[in-house]
This record gives sequence, structure tokens and C-alpha cells, in this order.
Amino acid sequence: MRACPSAAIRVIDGGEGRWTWELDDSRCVFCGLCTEVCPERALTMSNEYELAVRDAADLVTRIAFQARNEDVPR
Amino acid sequence: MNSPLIVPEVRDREMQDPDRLADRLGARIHRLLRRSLHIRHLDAGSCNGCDWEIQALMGPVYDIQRLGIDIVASPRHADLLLVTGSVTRNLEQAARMTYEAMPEPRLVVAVGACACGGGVLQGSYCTAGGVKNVLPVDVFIPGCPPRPLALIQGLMVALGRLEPKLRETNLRLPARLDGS
Repeated sequence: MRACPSAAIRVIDGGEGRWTWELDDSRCVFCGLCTEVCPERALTMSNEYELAVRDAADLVTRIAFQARNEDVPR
Repeated sequence: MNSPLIVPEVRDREMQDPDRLADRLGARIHRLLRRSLHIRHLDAGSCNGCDWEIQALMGPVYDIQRLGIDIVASPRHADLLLVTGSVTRNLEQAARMTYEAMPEPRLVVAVGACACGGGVLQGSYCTAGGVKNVLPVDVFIPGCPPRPLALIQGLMVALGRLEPKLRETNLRLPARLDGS
């Protein structure tokens, strides 16, 4: 999130360990900086190019998850 | 994110072989239009990155003219409007006028991150923040810039939108679509 120059990645704290991770393709410039700094290699670049969508809302990839207690940063 | 219409194995094969994707696009154009697909390219404040990728489509590697796609000089000749750039204030009216000059059925495709939602200029006072705020967009092709293959795939998705539009406009349909 801090590495993203175009603010395409957003991490939203929903409270009580609920986190939402968002990647907005309509902002992403595919620079790859997020994959360089990702400590767990959760983000990687691929050769996938079929990204065309009919609805602007589909441009946003959203992942919601519940963090374990020990994972929540204090 | 993956298109549900294309099974993964087929997609992987196509990624190795651009010709396969291009041939399917050519077949779809012929089936729907029975003639060429004419594109009007509109630069609405782009950095020229996307424009170069569109230009690459016309070159010897991708060569979309062999599929019956041509980029024309006037919106009055065009079926499809390819918009690049985030639509700056000064070009907003020009974009509207270009759209209105096109004959129906017309398609609008937003090419690149800027056209999809403003891109790095999102929230700026001097742009409309994407083509969707100015024109009814049929297909969004993200990427900064999108590679030529992504553009070909985007054109395929756009042609999928053409069939219902052909029916809506009550034009004389090609025989195969009419069922006659």
C-alpha cells in the first residue's frame, strides 16, 4: 500500500481483525513495485492480459479476510 | 478476473499464440457485421502510451487490418470509438461531439488506466476522471498501457456488446442474426 505510486492498492481496517484488501485496475500502472517489496511474495506479476471488463465495478478486486489475533498489528 | 467464456487451457494456448486470439476476433467480426469494423481513435488527454499500443496493432506484428479492422479518420465512418486518456476539461466537449457524430449502433471502449477511471490523475480538478463520466462506455481495458493483445481481447468483448445493440436499433440485420 505504501509502495504503490498510483494508490491502486488499498488496505482497509474494518476493526476486530476484519481486513479488506483492494486492487483497483483502473489506477494500477503495472509498475511492479508492490511485488518487489512484498515480504511474503503474496503479490507477483503474471502474463495474464485478459483484463477487459464491461462494468467499471469489475475493475476492482476485493479480498476480505479475518486476521488471527496474533497477526493484528498493534 | 478471468473471462468465464474461455477455459484456462485454451487461454494459455492463446497467450503463447496471438494468432489464435486474432483469428477468433476476425471470425466474430465477420459473423456480426458481414463487413469491416471501423474504429475511430480519440485521444482525450492521453500521455500517448496507449496511442502507441494502438498504433502497434496496425504494425506488421499484430496487423489487425488483416482481420478487417481499420482505423478511420472521421467518427461518421466509425462503429467503435476507442478513447484513450482521462478526458481533460478541454476535450470533454470534443469527446461528446465525436460520440454524437457516430452512426448507431455505436460502441465506446475506454483504453488504459486513465480512461477506465482517471488512473494516476484520479481526483484531479482538470479531468473528468475517466470516460465513463462523459460517455456511456461499453468495455474497459485497464493497463498502463494495455498491451496490444489486451486490446485485441477488449475488442472481442466489445463485439459481444454489438449483437444486442444491432437488435435494439432495428437495423436490417445480417441474415444469420435475423434467423432468416
